[in-house]
Amino acid sequence: MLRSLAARLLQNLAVLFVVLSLSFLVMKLAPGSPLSKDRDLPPEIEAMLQEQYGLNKPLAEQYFDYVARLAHGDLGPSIKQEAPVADILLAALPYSLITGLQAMAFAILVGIPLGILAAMRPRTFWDHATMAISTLAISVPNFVLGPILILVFALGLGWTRTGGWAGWSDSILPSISLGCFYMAYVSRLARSGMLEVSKLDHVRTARAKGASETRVVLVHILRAGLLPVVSFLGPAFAAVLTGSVVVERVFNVPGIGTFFVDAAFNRDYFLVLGAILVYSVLLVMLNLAVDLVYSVIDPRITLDGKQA
Amino acid sequence: MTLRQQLQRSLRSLALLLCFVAAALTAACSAEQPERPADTYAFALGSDPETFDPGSMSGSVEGDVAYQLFEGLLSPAADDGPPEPGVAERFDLSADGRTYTFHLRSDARWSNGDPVTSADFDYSWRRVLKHKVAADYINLYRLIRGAVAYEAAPNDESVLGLRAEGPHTLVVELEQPVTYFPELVSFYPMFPVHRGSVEKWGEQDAFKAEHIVSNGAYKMDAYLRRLRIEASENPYYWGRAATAMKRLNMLIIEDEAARVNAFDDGRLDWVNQLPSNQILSLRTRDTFRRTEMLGTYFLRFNVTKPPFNDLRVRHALSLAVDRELLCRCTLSDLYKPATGMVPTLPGYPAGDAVHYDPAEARRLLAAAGFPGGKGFPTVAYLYNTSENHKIVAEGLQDIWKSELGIEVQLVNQEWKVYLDAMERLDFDIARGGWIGDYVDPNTFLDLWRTGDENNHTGWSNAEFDALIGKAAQTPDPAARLTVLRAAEGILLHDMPVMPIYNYAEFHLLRGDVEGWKPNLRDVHLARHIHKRPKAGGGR
Repeated sequence: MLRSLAARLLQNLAVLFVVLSLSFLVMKLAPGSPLSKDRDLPPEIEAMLQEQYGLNKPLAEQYFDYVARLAHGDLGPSIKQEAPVADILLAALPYSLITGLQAMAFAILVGIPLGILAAMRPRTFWDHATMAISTLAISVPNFVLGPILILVFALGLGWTRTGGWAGWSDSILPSISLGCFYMAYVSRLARSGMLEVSKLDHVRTARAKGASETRVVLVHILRAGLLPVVSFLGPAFAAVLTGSVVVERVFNVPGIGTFFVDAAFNRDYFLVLGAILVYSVLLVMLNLAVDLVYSVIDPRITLDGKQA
Repeated sequence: MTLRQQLQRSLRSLALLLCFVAAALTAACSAEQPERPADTYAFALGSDPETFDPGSMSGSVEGDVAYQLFEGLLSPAADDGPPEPGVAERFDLSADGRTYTFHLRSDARWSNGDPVTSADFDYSWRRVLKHKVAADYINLYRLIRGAVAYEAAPNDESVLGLRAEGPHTLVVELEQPVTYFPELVSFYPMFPVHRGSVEKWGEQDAFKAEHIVSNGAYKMDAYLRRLRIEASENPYYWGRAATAMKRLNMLIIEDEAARVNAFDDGRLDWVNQLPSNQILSLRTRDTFRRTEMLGTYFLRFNVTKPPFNDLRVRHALSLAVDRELLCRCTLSDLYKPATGMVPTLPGYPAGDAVHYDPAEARRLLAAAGFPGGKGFPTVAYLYNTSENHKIVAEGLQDIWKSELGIEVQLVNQEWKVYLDAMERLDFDIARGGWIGDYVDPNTFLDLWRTGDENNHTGWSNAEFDALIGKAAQTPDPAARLTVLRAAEGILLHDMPVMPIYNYAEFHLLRGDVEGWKPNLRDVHLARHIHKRPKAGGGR
């Protein structure tokens, strides 16, 4: 187990290296310069800034400089913000983590019970109502849901503010807005997974032996039925934790998502690469966590992918 | 259960949900706005400032902050009047118009209590010319006599025509008689920096929020990236007694719709840069304000290649456009049609060189070898991603098709790609815009000189260059404006650029805010603001 874990960690390190190298290349190949503005800089000032950020060096040299920086734990400076990238990302990450964790909590705590309800009462009002809710939640995009939530709960009822971040209450609407899609997806996956498992022999046997319905559901169906949900949650966690540009913009949340997108538009190379690094680390680590959870839930699956 | 029954049930469930949403929306009417503190002024910034160092900043957001925290020798008026006394109480101008002597007030103080002296300006301006900071606006400093030589040899302090004569007198000698120099010293790139802080913390760290020492009406209290900048009154500011707003809250909100929301939920007193798709509905509010801006929206022609290397083609495209109609119908009457490259300025009346004459346009196009548009190549119209630019581009594409029979292909590029294309002259027609730095025609004209880094048309005219040079040498203001008018005439005759409309800015402003006046530079100092007590905020 430990050997498999170490091997996976090494693989992940290699993945991160490849991702960063490709991202560096793509960023540099994109037309446009971080120093270009609608009002052009005087040539001497542009040269001075290019020197300051090493942009006048050959591409290979810039790349090796960046790798060397990274090896020393330095993510470089933001070209647009006059601040170290690490400072910017560290300040932004908590907002994205809080919003993302709450969004996933909402998705799981609402989505799984809805999925169970639908699966246990197939083709009844409860099933139809649950699936109608999930269809609506999947269909309505963030940029529509966000403003509706603001209109109703902030401008209408005055329960929260329309945006910004002065306290926990400001995180509720963005979390719901971000989590709605995942809630719907989780409920659908839970429903279909459980319906599938409920037809299997061991469930029928359990029922034939007279086990209570609660026990059948909780012990025999839920565990295997939620496997698709678990595999969905890994990448979903990575996606919500690194912030959603739309939700962050609509609710003015200072998370990592808007920094990432703005940095890409501004060609703020170091900030983009820093954000990609954070995103990639989260993604590979969460995928690893999912695999670990998988091997716990289903003993037939091992960390190295071999059948036990 | 049949499929029909299943569908009916699903629809019923959906209907229930929609009823809930509708009920909640109906309830969305009566939430009361929180009470806003009477001595706090809140406004929105469109992004984080890139820097708090006046020496290296450029951009409207940076300016919005700098005008509150710092003060120059002179200070912008609330309206379009001449600059008011700032750190300097008054100034003298020599007979040749080249030497300004500023007399600084003795009670000017930094936010840590240090006196603001002429040595501070001497240090700050030399700092820029020594390239201690990457100053976007270094060209303004190059107006000082000997500046270019000083940049090359910064150890020779005597080369520069700048000297502090005692703590309260600053003498500035200029290369040429710059009549708008008072405007420039009230412009944020020429604000002073606190020498002690720069020497203590270093060139960059001195402008971290926790280290900034400023000399304006307000001092920095806190900066939360992407959230807000908090400032409170500078306890040592000379005009403190007349400053009604004791605290500032500058909310950083990138999304335009979110800015309107923040105004609606009572967090803002003033907001500008409103979402273009909401302007028509917002302008019915009593808090809505429209102000003229010091800016022109225009098209650039690439004159280095066919077909726009032919003057007749450029004129044909311009003459075919009824700007009145374009502004009224396509742009919903929000902007005024441009009559020249320079917008109407005090003392510089509107030009009349831009006309609508479709018959003449067709004649010119035929004379250029494209009768009825036949044989005219499909040209590309480049614009950066924006709903407004798209609307203008589509409007013009339609006009040129119907009036001249020519095909124009619209090319939409992301901002940096667009800038890159402009830099490389990789376009046929490109949308452009220019916001003036100071209230003077020169700011709209000198960029078209041969080789200027902002020209981006390939156009060059020795006579135009000479006139811009002559204007810079003319101390008499009226004669100078006549020379600049002649230069603008050449620009519009050669037409490397086709003016479309003059910029305007749109604002929401609370009804109880007083002292806020429209001005071309869209600069609004919080120290000019006061609030009417117990008045309705308005929506």
